Amino acid sequence: MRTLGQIAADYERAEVTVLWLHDAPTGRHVLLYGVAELCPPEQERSDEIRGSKGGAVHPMDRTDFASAGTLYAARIFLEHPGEAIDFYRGVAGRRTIAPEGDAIILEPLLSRFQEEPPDEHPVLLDGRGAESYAGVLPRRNTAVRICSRFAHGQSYLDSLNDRQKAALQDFSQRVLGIDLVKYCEHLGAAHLMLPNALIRGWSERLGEDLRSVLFEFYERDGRTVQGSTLQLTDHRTAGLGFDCIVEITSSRQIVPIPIDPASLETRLRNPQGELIEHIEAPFLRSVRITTAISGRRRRVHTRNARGEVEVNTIQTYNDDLGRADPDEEVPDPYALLQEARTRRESAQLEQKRDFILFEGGLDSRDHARKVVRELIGNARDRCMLCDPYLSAPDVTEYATFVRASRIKIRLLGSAMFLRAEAAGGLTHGDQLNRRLVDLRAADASLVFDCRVLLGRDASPIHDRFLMLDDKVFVLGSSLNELGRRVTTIYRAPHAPALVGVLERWWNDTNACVPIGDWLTRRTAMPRDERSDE
Amino acid sequence: MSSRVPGPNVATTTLVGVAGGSRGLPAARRDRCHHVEGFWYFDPLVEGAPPTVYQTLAGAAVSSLWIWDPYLLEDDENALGSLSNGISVRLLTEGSCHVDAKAFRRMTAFVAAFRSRFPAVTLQVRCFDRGRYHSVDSGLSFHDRYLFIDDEVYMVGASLRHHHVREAASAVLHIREPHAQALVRQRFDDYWKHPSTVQIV
Repeated sequence: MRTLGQIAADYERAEVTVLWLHDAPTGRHVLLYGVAELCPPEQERSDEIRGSKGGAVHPMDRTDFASAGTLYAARIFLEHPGEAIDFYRGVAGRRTIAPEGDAIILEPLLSRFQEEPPDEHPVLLDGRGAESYAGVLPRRNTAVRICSRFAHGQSYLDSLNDRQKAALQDFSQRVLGIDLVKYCEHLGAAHLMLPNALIRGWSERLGEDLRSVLFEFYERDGRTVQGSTLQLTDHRTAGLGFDCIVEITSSRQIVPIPIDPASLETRLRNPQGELIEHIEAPFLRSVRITTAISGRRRRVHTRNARGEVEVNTIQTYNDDLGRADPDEEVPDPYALLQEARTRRESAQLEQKRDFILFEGGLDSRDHARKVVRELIGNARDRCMLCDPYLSAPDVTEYATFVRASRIKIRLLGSAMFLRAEAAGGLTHGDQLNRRLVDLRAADASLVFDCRVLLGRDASPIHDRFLMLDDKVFVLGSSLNELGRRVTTIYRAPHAPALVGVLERWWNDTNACVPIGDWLTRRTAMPRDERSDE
Repeated sequence: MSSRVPGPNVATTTLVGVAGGSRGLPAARRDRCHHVEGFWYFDPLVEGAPPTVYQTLAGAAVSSLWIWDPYLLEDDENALGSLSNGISVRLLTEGSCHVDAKAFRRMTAFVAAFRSRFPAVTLQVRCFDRGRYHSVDSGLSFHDRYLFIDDEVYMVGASLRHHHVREAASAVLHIREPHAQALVRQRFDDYWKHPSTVQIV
């Protein structure tokens, strides 16, 4: 393995980009983010960072840090790659820069940095593992190797107030194009970037005969890819398929393969044996494009518990015109990266609406409301809300958010809850029925079919479901308090089976009856005989 | 992961013979509980005794069984059927146990009954004492129920009592996405170690 000093010989110059805080109370300069990049031949020089103060232009930008100091950013261009390595390493955690000539000593966020990977052994950024870095490092056409020293940025972020976080986020986005709040694991970190020094790009195509792969390497001035090696591995459903290693003899090379690969993993190693490119993906074979269309609006006026009138506006559409499918639309630095990655992957799960965890509290309740409204708004052919605690407010809060104008909204509540007294001497059932009539009168596009599950003391159904087209979502808690406590929404696997069950419940006239019939029957019954509900 | 825990690729339509061998559903109950690759539900429209999905899953644990359920009652050990000797059981519930003597008695009664029934199982019970510092609107409170069988995570629609007494339709879902599993485990751990969480045993 070559040392960083030996690797530096592959590069021509370097750039160091730094964001730091001049902490007003202590007068110290503290490193908040630093990246030193070794630049190979033909790599375009990055833009300078400039700011003005008192009419004079300075080679750095700045902003107020919510009265706690000043945030600065600068980019320094170095002739010798070794200087960038010195910056990355620092001396006793301190780093020196001189954007305007005078030296500025940058103190670390923590007294000790934590190195990842250890011992300055560069790691090749690749695929999902590189997601955290991709958010904060400059984009390059080739793969990048990296060494990092972390400083437990999450803890530092937690110590900031909202104004400071906003200032940091705005400044890092405006000046460096990165979000140091979102990618807070990089706060206080220093990175050393080593882009591919041999090539400035490459392509890989499957031959028409499906038995060869054509590689084209775009070599940098004065560099050759010859002498490097390619390793091709076929990943199939059952495991690994073929695996072959070939030496590169030309910048355009055809590599024969034994079979049509399912998902091809390609590794490129330089003549020193260091891994410098890696990609694993199936070859692109088809592309699908969808479009969306929107239509009229529905406005629903409601009065909340505080007596305030709320107006909800729902964009409706005519389903004859079609629409888009909603689904298409530190202790240990390694642990920190994992944690940050898990957080973002959870966000992705939420985005796909497969699994959403609500953390509880009022913000969480608002979030849950927004998510359920969106799910309901995307229903096209079928919408059913099944909740033993279904009540009038739920209809206004959720059911009215159906956007398909001709859809019948099916509501399944329970006698156990609807028979209970609500405000104004009415039962929840009376309130629910009145709300349905009022909403229907106000907007003819709202078509409800509400039924009541019989059972005086206990609902025969405990759980809450949303059946939307061919999908079923299981709600961890009832709509009336969804998101207020820690809860989840989970898209049920194998929805058709559950759709069948829900349909059977809905159509079982011994188990559930239309709300109008239930109320009529109940009203006609003497109070003391209302036991068989 | 234990090979005895029903996994996502199980293609049977009931739990019979899937988990725990002889601990499968008794014949009389088979038709009341449906299973489709990681999703079980029981049908309230058919008369009969409560289904034993929960018992079957809990009985399949070979090293650890964690139960996250905010509503714990004194005889809820009956929902667990039989457990393997030597496993470690953690139960996290919620309640105002510092002011509510009844809630505390309920938990200690559960512990006594559990230990009597499963003497060879290590039990830890903790109660997140929401009433001590937090209103519900603070967000520090949990509603859903989860079951952690060794490395697997299940979302359980209804509390323990529904699995040994009450007749109501409810579902048990196998959470398959690794990140969703990790997220739920992390939240369990957060509440398990929360300063407001009281160690009952």
